[in-house]
Amino acid sequence: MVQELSPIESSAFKSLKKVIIWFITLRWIACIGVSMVLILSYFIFHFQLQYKILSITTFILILLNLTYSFYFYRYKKQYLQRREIHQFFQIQIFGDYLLLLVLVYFSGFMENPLIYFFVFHIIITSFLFSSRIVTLYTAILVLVIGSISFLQYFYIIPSYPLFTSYGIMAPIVRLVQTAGFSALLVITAYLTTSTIKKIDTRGKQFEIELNKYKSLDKIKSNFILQVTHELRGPLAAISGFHEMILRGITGEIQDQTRQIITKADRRTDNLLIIIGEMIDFAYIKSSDDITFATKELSVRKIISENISNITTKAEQEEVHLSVACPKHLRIKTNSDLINIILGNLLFNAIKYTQPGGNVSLIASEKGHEVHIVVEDTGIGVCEDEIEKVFDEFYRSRRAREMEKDGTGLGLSIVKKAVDALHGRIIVHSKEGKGSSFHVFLPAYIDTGQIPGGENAENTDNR
Amino acid sequence: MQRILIIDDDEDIIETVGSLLKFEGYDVDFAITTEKGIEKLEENIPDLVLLDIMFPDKKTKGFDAAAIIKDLYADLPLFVFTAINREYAFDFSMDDIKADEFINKPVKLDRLLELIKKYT
Repeated sequence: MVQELSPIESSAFKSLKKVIIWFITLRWIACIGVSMVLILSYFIFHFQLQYKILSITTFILILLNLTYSFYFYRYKKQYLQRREIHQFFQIQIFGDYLLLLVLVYFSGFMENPLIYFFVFHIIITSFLFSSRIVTLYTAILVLVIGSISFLQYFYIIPSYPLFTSYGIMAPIVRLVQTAGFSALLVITAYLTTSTIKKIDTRGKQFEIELNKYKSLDKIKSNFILQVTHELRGPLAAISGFHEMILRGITGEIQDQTRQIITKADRRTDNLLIIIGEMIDFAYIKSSDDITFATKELSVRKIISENISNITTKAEQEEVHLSVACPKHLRIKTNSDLINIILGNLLFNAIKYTQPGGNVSLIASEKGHEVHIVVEDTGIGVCEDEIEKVFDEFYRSRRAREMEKDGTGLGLSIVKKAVDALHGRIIVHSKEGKGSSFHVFLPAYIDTGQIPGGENAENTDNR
Repeated sequence: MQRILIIDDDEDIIETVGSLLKFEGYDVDFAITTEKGIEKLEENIPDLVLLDIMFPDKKTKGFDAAAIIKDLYADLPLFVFTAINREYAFDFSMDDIKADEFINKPVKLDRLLELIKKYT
């Protein structure tokens, strides 16, 4: 069941302090207005009014508002508790009801247009309190106004008319007016509380949806961990067993066995890469609308990490690796995405370069961008295929000939990662000569997300 | 002889990495839970620790253990051994993990030896 909460009890609490300031200001305006009207009608229009009582009421209003202001600004501006704010509003609204009633009663009652200010009161009350309290206020108000009207009708209590010209019709007209006015109050209370209830329900639904969305993200990363654990774990073990045999731990091995185990190991490595690509692909695909957390990183450090991950492969393939990066080059970006970009480009470059070839990675600063070039002397891509290299699952003819295993996802992941970082990627290639991939990334991305903001919380739980 | 402690829930990983390291002349000890691993570590401090991240009871338990180990022995070389090196899979930044090296599983022996030599 959805619990009914007024703003004072719910999350709208913060803005309530503003409402208090607003209340006090409006009340000052009311004080000035009423005083002006009294002065004008006494000195200029010469109305017959209960000036004594009205002046005292106005004076009380001024005193009350002074007290409110003093209480709020001097003592409690910073430290008001929920309960205190609640009580503060109750007192203010009750006081306003009472004073307005007195003012209106002694200045024509139903004839006085000021009586319509009760409508505003009800609207404000329904914004602040639960519908039960609004109903209570409205019922009391209708009861009091109705009683006064009836008592005046039967001349039990005196009336203070503004205009004497109503003549004999006056009492009955006033009763009808009272009935109409009561209806107005009840309808206002009903409309505002039901509208506010609807808005609240919507808000709560929205909150529930948002939480679902957040937990979905959590489920997704747990799923990635699970898949990795279940798939990469066994493959890592298989790869280790291969190496045990190849190293001769199990005893001398024949050439043919060595060849077979080497092939098996190669396919295992490929499978590991493919799983990695699929996980990256799933992540990037599902993160289309998500802002990525960024942090400031040393480009040199990112590059050296990626290079060290790939060194063994480069040695196996007998490809020469060279790197150049200015020492102080820094970039504010998402670390996963930049690792995906560099890892894939380097991996591809080595994979499609024949033994004895070269792969180089050069990083430099170009204005507000970091420019990274990965160049190889590999098989290259022919002209009519170059546009398609970033397509999902696309593999060029030469690539398929050279290596059976491959998802054709690597470059499409790179492209998506570059896009997500608001960068550009350009490829130059000549079949049989080699390829170069130029990546331009903004040196500073501010996603508005505080790096480590949410993270810091989690590391505390370690 | 230098001693390496492997903490991993996968006994096949312990067998493969362990026997490869033994073959290369290291003394190898192992534990299949982080609790046992820390116990062993306190009994007899090794020269280097190889620590897995994902354990059956908690997927990021290795990170918790890394923090404990580094709190106890700040100078002890600690390699985190992980099948995934993406932050998106975890709830926190890899920078917060106090490990000397992150090693992607599987690792080729030559690469592992190179790193071990760097720290011992």
